[in-house]
Amino acid sequence: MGNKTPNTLEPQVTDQGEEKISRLLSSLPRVEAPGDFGFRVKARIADGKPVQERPMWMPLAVKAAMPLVLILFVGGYFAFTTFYTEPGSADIAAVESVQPAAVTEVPAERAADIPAEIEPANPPVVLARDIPETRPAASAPVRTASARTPARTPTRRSVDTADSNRGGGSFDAAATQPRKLSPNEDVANAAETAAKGQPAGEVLTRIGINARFSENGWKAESVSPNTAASKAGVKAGDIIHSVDGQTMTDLRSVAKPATGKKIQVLRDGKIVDIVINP
Amino acid sequence: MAFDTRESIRLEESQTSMPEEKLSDHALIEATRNGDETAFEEIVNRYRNSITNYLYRFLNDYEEAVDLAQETFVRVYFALDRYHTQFAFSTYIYRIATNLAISELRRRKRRRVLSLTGLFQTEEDSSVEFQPPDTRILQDDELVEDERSEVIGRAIAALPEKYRVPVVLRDVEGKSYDEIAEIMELGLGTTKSRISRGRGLLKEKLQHYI
Repeated sequence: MGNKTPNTLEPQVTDQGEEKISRLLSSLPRVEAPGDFGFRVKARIADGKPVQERPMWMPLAVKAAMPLVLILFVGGYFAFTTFYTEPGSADIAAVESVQPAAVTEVPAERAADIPAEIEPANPPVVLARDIPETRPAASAPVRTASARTPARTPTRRSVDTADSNRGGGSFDAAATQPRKLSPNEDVANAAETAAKGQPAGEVLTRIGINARFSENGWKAESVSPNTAASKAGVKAGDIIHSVDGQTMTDLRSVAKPATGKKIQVLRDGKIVDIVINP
Repeated sequence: MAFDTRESIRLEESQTSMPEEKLSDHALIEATRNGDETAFEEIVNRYRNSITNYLYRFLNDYEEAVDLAQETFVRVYFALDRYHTQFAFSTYIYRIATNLAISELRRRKRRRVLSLTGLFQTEEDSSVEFQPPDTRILQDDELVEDERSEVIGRAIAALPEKYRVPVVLRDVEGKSYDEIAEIMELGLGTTKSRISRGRGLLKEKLQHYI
């Protein structure tokens, strides 16, 4: 281990501690370049140019602003979605107040029996037939909103529990797929159905029309043969406009108990009156 | 990493540069400018160990030191036309190496990330790992020497760069104050005071070794 001899021509370190440090550093072992050092230098030279420090691809100010932009973007997205979906939510709430009877499917015979027993003297608080006048475009926004925000789609439970049962799905699925109800739930829903009206699908099924609620209203998918509807001339593809004078283009339930004796269908863009003879 | 004493390196360097031993740096550069590749090889052979050692003591990272030393020679080669012979070549090449090393240090600072495991480790713990027991007879002197070198190397690397450059050039590379002042492009007084200040900082950290 060789110690370096201090250069006598240079000013000597005055402090003893500094001198010791100087000796300590000069006594450090030296490292060698690797054996292929010259070869690697040649190879680098052959590559053509020295490695340049990569330029900053983005100015410092932009770099610093990036987190802020990100926060604004995310915050803006949530703000936008919140404000954008609020009107739809309001419509859904309105529908929830009038629609639960329609989406609550109760066996036909049970629903037919219960209203006679517990039908209230006073009419329901919200009349279904009033809805198209006050909210003529209620169904369209609701469907749009439900398509965008499935979490807000009410389930087939009652209005009171709808908020706590946001499970997604669609109106069509909810309307067509019966759900198994517990006895208590069944009776409660039937009573509610009787108070608020009669399921439109049930009225139509009774006279032989297998209808499905779509964007345009209740559309007859098929008409059962040898039924009153088929005899009266209802055809598959007809859109049920009204039943017993109650407009059904926008609603999924009939407010008053209906017999389905007189219906209006929309066929080829024209309203056709059809009298059903049971 | 290969260690050797100062004397053995000097001997080796004197042996490797036998053919152009009498040629000065300026003559070799002139020959390189005229297309003599072997002249540049001789320049590389002359300075490769000292530049590598200087960068190693500056960065305390051998691989990085070798890489930057190679980069230094590449830059020298491509800048030969701009080199003026009124300056000593050794000053010129050390200045390039110093600038590269300082750039590397600043790049490291930018890239420094906080290690999650580092939060719960002390500096002593960080290098501790399981090692099987070594049943060989311990060579105490060698171990102590290695440890001492490591501690000193860490202490140098912990110096601020404005003190580290002159201290390493002076006490490790043995450069004169004038040369250091030229390399750093500073006045002589500033250079001396920085060396003194750097040594003072090292003295505080290396009390046990002096």
